[in-house]
Amino acid sequence: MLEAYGTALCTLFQPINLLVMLAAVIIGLIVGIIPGIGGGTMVVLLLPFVFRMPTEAVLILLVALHAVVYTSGGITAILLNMPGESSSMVTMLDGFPMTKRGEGGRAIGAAVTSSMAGGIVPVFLALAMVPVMIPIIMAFGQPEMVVLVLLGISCIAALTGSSVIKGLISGAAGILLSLFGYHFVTGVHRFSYGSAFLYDGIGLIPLLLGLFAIAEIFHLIVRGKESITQRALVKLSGVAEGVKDVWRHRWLWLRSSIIGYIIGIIPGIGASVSNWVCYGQAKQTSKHPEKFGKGSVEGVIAPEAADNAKEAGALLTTMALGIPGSAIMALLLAAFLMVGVTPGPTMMMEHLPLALTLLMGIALANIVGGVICLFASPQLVRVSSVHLDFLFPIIVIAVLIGVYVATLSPLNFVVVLVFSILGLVMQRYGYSRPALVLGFILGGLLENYSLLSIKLYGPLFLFRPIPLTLLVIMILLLLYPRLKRGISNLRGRPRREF
Amino acid sequence: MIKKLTVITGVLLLVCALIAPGCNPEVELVAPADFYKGRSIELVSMTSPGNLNDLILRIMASYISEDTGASVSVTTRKGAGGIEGANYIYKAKPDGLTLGMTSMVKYVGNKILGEPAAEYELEEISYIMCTHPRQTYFFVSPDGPYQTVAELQAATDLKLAATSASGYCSLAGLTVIELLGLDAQVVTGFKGTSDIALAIQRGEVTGYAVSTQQALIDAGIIKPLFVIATERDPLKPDVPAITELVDLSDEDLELVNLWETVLNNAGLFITSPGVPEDRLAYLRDLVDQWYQDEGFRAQVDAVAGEELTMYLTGEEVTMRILNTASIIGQFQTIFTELAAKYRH
Repeated sequence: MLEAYGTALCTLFQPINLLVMLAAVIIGLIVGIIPGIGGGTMVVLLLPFVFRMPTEAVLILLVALHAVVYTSGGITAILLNMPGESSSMVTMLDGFPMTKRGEGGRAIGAAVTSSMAGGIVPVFLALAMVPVMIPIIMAFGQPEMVVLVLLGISCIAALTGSSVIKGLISGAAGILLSLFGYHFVTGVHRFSYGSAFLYDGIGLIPLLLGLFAIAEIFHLIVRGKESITQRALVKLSGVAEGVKDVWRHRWLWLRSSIIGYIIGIIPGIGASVSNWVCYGQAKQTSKHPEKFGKGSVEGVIAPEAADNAKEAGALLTTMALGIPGSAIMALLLAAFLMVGVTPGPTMMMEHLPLALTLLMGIALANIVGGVICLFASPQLVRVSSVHLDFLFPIIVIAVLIGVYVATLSPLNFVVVLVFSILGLVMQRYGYSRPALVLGFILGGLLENYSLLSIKLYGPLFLFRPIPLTLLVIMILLLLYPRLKRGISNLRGRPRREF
Repeated sequence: MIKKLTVITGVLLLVCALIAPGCNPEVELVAPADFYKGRSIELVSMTSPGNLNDLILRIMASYISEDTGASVSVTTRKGAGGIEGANYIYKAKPDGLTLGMTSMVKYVGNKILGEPAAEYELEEISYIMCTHPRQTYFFVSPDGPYQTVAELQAATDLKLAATSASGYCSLAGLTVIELLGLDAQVVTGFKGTSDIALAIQRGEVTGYAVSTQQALIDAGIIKPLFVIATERDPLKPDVPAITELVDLSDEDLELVNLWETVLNNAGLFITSPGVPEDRLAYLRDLVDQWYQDEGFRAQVDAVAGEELTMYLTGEEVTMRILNTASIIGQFQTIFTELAAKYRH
């Protein structure tokens, strides 16, 4: 076993592999910053070239590139309220308010450190996880997925803001919007009017960018602001404060990494749910839940830790079972096959050093990418103090380019415009945009998994042991702050004398 | 008189000069090999990135660029189950510069199911070739309770898994139920074939029908029980054809034939309607040459994880699709009835 780790380390530190990884990290960081262009797009572009490179080098290139996209993806979300992907959106909930009050550097420091460390821990867990991952995957059928999605949706409680009713209305509106398009389970077309554009429903990227990036800038302009913040911190010490925050909240970080990792192992659900679940549990277990959504550093640490950990988990499933958990993992699976490595149970035996090289590659790429981001942060933060007259056109152009590259459909510009206006109205009247997005992302999943569960297990599908246990955990988590208050009240109350 | 003739000749020359660009002499006169040099070709991938058809198209991209001298860009238009891309190619200029790869079963299946968004016409699109026409298998768990067709036929309340209600697995599942006379239903809504394979292992569903999934077979997650064809697949000679296991009526055999000919998970390489014949022939010849090239075939086999030497020429695939298109109404009726009976 130790020999395999040694071999993997030697392979990783070969000059050619290090060089390839550095190139991948730089490309990945740049790609992550541009909204709409995820790591998947770059992996697709690089795939035809894999035949011309050595096996280890090409796989390290793809894995490293994909790994750091999430590290830099959070930066635009924190500084500009511009989430490139749904996962960055969770970071944005508290990251952007921190930027607005001049703590952008601290938020980036916390996000990057948490994300970086979240990608390292799973490497050491990988071999220990192999024997237990198959039972975990086999235990999570359709009913268990329903509860996991419910767990994510329960985060609406954490996103309602000042008005619970308005939060619920926003969440319900998101679920309603997720129902557009062709329904795969029933074969019914809903609100698509025979159009190929609406066949797959409303696109997530244009919705996110309209609802947040454009609407936020509009909002600031309407309020007569000159820039996102007047107090952009440009010292490295501010970033270091964020690094220290991760240490201060190390148990939250560890918990989030493990939750993210385990959810990442389960194929098909990781990316959508893990960050929300971690955000929700962070709020429920925090000493200051009232600060969430207003710039709590814990709200940045939890989703970022889960983000990279879940990718390591998904990669492990792809390698150990040959089952890709997401679109990007399907691409990596194709790359494995292209270079003559067949993922599956035998890979962890026959190609153990290669598997470890890749897992260590993720960790090293995260470290390199993280360090680059940390040192670049003081300069990046300056963006938030740029005058809106300059920032607005740049953001609009970046959004439009991102949307077009991601979808190749000019019709999505209309979607961006519609959701920009909706975002502005929601912000003006105090409706929760994150709750709408959460409903939008998880509403469709909830419907599909529920319908599938009913078809496979009948209407009482939730009364199976695992879903029931998870439901109880979910309810306890939701009630945790009240229970905690109740217990401390009981302890604090003087005993009655009889 | 001479003056008049000069004026008339001048006017005629002027008219010709004006009409000539509209005639586009390049289309008529330039040899196809010269036409492509220095031009831009758009390759449209109509399946998800990483899908076998997508990967083969990306391998082809470098060969097209090298052989034609054109610059090649690959775009993904996979929306609406590939309908977006097929519509895009259908409406593209008939110049042979917009080519695309789609899944044959989805492309034909969308028309059989009468998808309203599918604007393309099977009879009008130009077909360049069809890669890896792979047969459709029925898979079960190697450790599950059903290891033979007889055991399936004796069982009740079976569940066959599928992804989209109008997708490949769904149509194939309906066909299997009908041909074997199973007491079963097709359960749609799984995210992908990998999810279905896991559901089979968990015992949530009985099986599913799809083209060969070599990686999952190798991993011992699924095993093929039979192939929906009249003859065994030369690539998997150990797996029996459905006709060896059950007696089928003429109508049933027609359905099997449909699966053998057009409803298979092949990559269909197409271009827009009305592309000049010589240019289409040139593109078809190019593809023929690639399939004779060992380097190209090795790359295709590598992404497929198995040997994929078979392909259909442009003429063959055109004939198959035109034959299907001529009786598409009949299949529309069959699948509508099957869906009403067995899909819940």
